[in-house]
Amino acid sequence: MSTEMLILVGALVVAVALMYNSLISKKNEIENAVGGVHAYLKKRSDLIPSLVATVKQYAQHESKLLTELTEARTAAQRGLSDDGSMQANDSMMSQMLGRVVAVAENYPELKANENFLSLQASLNEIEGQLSAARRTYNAAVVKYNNAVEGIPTVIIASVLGYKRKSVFQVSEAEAQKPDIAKLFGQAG
Amino acid sequence: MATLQDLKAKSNGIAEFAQTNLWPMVDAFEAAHVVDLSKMKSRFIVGAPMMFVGWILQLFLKKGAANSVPMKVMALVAFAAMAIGFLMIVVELIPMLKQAGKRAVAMSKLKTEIKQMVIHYLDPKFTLETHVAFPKQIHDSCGVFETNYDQASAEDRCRGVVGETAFEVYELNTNKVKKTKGSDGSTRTTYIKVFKGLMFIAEANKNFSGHTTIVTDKTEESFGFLARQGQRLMSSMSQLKLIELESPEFESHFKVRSTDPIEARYLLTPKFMESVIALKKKQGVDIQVAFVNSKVILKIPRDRDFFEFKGGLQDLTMSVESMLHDLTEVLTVIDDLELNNRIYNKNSKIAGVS
Repeated sequence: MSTEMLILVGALVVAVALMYNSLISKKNEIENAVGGVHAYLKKRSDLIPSLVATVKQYAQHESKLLTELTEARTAAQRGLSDDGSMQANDSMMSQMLGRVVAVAENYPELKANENFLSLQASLNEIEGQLSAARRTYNAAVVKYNNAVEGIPTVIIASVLGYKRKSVFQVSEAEAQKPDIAKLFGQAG
Repeated sequence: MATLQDLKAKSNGIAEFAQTNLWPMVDAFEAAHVVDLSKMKSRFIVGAPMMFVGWILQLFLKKGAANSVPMKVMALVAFAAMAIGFLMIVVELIPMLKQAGKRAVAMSKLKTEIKQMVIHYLDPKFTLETHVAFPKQIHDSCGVFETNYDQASAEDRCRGVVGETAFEVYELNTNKVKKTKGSDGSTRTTYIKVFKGLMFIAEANKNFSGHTTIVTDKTEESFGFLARQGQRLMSSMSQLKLIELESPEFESHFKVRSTDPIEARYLLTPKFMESVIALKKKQGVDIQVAFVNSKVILKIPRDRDFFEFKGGLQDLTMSVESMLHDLTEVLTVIDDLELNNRIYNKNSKIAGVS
């Protein structure tokens, strides 16, 4: 084999190795981002028992809604291990929490309760962190999808069986989710 | 705590404050530190011509003085005239220089006193230290300042609280020192500016788990795609990873690096990105931001001196107006970046779900 040929083969091997490593690192980035989203979903989920207990004290008529929230939490916790249901769980929990916090509008004593206000502050913060985790996941997915579908990495991706992944999308109901701060007239 | 609006409203009344409180101090200073030039003037009028004429005569008489006694006497007289003229000036000049030196020291003290009064006028809880140690640790570790410098100094540290945000501003100067040897063996020292401007530190009321920096992206402006690829490569080897955000406009102005990509995106909401771009455009300089420990640090380049007198004491009102304008202008970043709101607020409940 001539020297030129050896150099060419060597360069090809290096290029394939680089593309392979790049794809693996992009896939791992997604897994890392999923871990981030899960961590914040869990953090939010952990707040729910305290929220339910606090709301129950002042809003006994809302027991049906609170039961639904508790059931949704249980279902979401079961689904945390399943990546496919992550988006659905996240969306459902966000909607349920939005509803629970919204009903507090009808209970002035609840609205003024210090524990409730502190929970609401924590929820807002976690929602912000969750939103950041979703954006991180989406950024990782976009990079991964670009690699999986782009030339020449598409060849390695198809050999590895890597397929396009879907990004987090805000559901229509979530997009119309009420702004908690506005509901409580505390903005500014 | 005073809000930025309160401070701006207060700064509108500074001319009146200067009239009633500062001008009397200046008048008292002028009365106590008069440098009497009239005596010097009269001595100079006599002494300077004597010196000049004596010197000229000396030149003419020098040649003939060797052979003639009268010429020698005349040369001696000319020398005496020159010496007397010189002494007349020097005898008056020395006390005058002493007087001027005392005045300069007193004036510097007065200016510092006035600066303190101006800062307390704005908010009694604000403090100003004119001489401070260079904050090397935070400057070098925050990741937005160039650390390749040989000489550094800091002055005019102003501290206080606006709304719920505790802040401090430093005026910084960092230079590279270059020493060159001339052909005659003498050493020449040149100072090359690395940074001149402000370091604004705001307490974030929250501990950041990661370290995030927003720096201006000159390479991408010039080299576009190639620069981005280079940054990605460098980022893969660094602890501070390149974070690519959704806003193309923001990405064209800045590059974001962070040890925690989720926290970086938590901090850099779309609204915050818009605010940083707007701030850069408003200030007209390359603003850079760091989030580290529990602090938001801004690097604000600035060629003009900060919180300084613009001229002599005669321009007092203009100077103090300009000082307060400098400070309130810098403090607007608290509102511009909403540092009193959202995650930075101890009561983050005021914010909506993002």
